[in-house]
Amino acid sequence: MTPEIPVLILIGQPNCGKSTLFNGMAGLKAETSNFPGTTVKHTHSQITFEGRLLSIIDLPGTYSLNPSDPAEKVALTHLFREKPDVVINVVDASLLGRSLELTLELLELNKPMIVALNMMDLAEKKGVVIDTTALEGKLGVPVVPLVARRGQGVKTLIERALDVLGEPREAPAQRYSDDVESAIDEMELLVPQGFPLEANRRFTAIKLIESSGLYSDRAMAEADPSLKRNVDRIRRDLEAKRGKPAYEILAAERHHLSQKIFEDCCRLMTGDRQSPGGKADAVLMHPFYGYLILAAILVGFFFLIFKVGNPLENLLLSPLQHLREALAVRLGAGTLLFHLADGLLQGIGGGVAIVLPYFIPLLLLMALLEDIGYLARAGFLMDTFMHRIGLHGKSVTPFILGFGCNVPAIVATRILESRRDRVVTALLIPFIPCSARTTIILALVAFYLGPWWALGFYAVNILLVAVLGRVISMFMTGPSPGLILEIPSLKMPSLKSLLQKTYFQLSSFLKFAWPLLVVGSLVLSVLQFIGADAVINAGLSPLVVHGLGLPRELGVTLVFGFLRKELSLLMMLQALGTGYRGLLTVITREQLVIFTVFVSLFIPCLSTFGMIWKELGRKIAFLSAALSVGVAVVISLIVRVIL
Amino acid sequence: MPIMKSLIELEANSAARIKSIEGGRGIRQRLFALGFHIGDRISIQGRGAFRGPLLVSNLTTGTCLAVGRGIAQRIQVEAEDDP
Repeated sequence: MTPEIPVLILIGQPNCGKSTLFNGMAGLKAETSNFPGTTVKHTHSQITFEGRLLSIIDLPGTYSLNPSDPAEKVALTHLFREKPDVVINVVDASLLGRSLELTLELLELNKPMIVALNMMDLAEKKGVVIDTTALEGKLGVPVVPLVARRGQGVKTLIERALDVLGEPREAPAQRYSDDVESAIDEMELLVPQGFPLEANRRFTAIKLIESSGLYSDRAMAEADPSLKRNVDRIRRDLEAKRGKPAYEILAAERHHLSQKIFEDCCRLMTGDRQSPGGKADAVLMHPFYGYLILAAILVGFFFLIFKVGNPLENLLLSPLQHLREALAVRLGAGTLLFHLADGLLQGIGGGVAIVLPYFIPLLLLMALLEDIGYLARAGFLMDTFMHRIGLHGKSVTPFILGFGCNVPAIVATRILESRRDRVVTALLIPFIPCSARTTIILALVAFYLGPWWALGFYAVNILLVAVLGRVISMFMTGPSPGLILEIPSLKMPSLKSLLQKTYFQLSSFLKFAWPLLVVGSLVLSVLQFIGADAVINAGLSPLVVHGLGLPRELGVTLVFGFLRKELSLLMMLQALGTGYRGLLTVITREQLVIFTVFVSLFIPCLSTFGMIWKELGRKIAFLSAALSVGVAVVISLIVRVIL
Repeated sequence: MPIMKSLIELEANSAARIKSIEGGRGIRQRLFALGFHIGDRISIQGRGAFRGPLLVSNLTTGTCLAVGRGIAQRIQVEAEDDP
């Protein structure tokens, strides 16, 4: 029997190219990158293949079916919940030996399955020659070689996946050592009817033996004490025989079996296996040059974005300014119609002229860093500094992603194993200047005071993150495991993937943020027309005027800054009743800096706040908001005193 | 006669075999899942500055890991004789 809309599920180890394959199958849906653990959510898509509707699901990468971080738990949960008709196990061919360990676990599920042997080009470069026919024989499932990055083999993969659809699979051909097998057999017989674990008895039996000390183990003890006694006995016998814990016995069994299959099906054309890009890595992670390169990359990015964005901005601003003046003449400066037209113009024009020139280059460069695989290297370099602020190198990825947008950065904290690390990282992320704030910093500070001021602003901002991290860590103690981070091979980025990723982020800006900018501008226009902004400004004036020393008209813009940080910038111009070029005639340079500092820090934007709530709970979200407001006030006051 | 030492004491670019990994289940299982098992041949590719992490390459499985010093201290290896 074949289902009407078959569900194909992609599962594989982190960084094996699942999302690239998924994109190849589904068009522009998921993001990919070269960092273990970028897909931290599962992604659905429906495609039509040769007139047939298929449902495809991309799961977060998982090293094994014994999850150890929240992203891996998502993978395991959805593997069962989605009830896949075909399991597509995506494997990095250049790391076949290790990848097969997950394949062996998946085979135990006895579901229709197919192995997508991805990155064949990389394997070839490493000198690994794989006999796919032999591998098919060993695994008992079809193996399709492909290069997802170039779209090679994707069609064949879907065809062969449809071939295995609905075909009952034989029990796995590969067996563990005799003592382990007999323990599994015995356990299988003891699994009661209707035991609440999906898949089959053998899979359940293996997981029962492996899962000592875990939550499921304790739950079982309460539900069925006699089963628990039996599990314990079988596990103890096995552990006594081998002299090590059960989970280690099974891990070692899979490892040896994988290595054996690997050796039987592969030939190595080179001697000792070097890590690919070994020479490049020796420089990129060099104790001296590595940091030099890291600093050069960050500063270089900054100037590149500024140099690209600044002329573009100028180019786009002049016609806007003319249009605005023409409108004032035609509609009459004080009328409601002018206010509305002006709000609309500021919203639309501001999005185009101020946000896009900086936003697009930043997105492209971030995508480039991700795809090359530089983020993991940055994690390696920064680990030692992260320890000083109570974290470790794995938090570097969410931080760097945070420069693009805080929202995915919060989601990316799922790659951290301990909750304590997640909370600390998530509390710090809102202090990372995201692209929206970069826009403000570049458009105000760099534009009016020069790029070095802006760079200094960044330096102080990063220092602030470090100090805050240190302070938060003093209050939040808890288990924080050390760094264990896979360093993926360096990969040539493909232009297609970079553009896809940029487009993906940009379209969410266009669909979500831009309308918000326009509506925000319009609302402010109406507020100004009916005089309601004065009420809000009066309410906030103790803080805005007396505390920060800013014009009282800016009070209302801060409220809107909670929706989107860019809004504060656009509305600042609107509230002060000036064009972009005339800004310094109404406020001083010092006020400009204080405003930028306050807006950058004062609260996580609405989306970030919502994401923190969703990922880590209400308490942490409000803690983050309170922390931001407190820090923003203190730092702004300090800046005011210094300047 | 091979000598046992912790991973942290291993010289760069000399191969060794993992003999034991001390520590809790979380860390051990993580290392296993990432393709670092007892018996694997590994070598140190580099060390982070300022007491940074070690860059460990697994010669058996072809993977590469950054391992913090705290964890590296708990991995015992047996150095192979210099060629």
